[in-house]
Amino acid sequence: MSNEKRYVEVVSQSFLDDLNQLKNTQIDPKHWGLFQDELSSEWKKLNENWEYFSKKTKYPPLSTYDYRKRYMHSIPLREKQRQGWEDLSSDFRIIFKVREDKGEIFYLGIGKRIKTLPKDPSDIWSIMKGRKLPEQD
Amino acid sequence: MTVKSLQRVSDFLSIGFGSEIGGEDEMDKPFIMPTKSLEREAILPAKILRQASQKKLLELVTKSEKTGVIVNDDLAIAMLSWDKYEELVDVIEVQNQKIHEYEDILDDLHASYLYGDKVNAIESGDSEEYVIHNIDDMFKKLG
Repeated sequence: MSNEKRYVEVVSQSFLDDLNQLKNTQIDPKHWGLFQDELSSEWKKLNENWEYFSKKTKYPPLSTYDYRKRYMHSIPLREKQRQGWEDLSSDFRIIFKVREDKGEIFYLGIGKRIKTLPKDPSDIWSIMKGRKLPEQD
Repeated sequence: MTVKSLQRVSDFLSIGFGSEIGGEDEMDKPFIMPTKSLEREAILPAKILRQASQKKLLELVTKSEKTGVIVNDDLAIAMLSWDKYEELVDVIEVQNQKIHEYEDILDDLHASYLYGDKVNAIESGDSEEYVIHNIDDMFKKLG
């Protein structure tokens, strides 16, 4: 069996920025090794069979350019169970697309999944709420 | 449970509900969200179960949304018809499915907002990209 990868992996600067932010502010340092293992595993799965392991995004501009998403666990499920996590579903999301013409799988970003409207004032929904409407400019 | 209330329960079990059970009206009723509250008539001591006939038990669970059974002075058992139980399971499954759909939509909106500008730049060729030959090397280069 050939060990050759199906696609060359390419990352955007925003993907690296996301990873840096996760490492420095969101992932417990004790879990960083587990997170790397999880991402490595997802990386491999998507390279081999992204059609099965991911689904289309629904809204533009991501959907316009055929970006896809894959939900993943930040740490293994059994570790979440051991630690008594209340929510055992996938807590992270990878955004990527496949460039068949270039033979590339292109990673755009990675971060925590949003499952509810966040109450954290620094969160994205508050930022959106605080934005000026076009007619206010 | 007093003698009087036992009598009340026994009287209740003797009431015939047959004419109201299983008709078309019953089948077409919309799902009503169950509550934790119980009518006094729908609370039974466990010992009554030994005395009641199968027919009466069936009538009881069909008539009531649920019946509470008292064991050692505690409301310990909920009794309901199997049809009602299946209906509850179906409703929970549908609602879980809806929650997953809404979570998915919310997450998609969030991702589009978060990466919208970046995607437009990338698709215009105005961004930096890096080929990763080994994922471990990528991790090592993080700040």
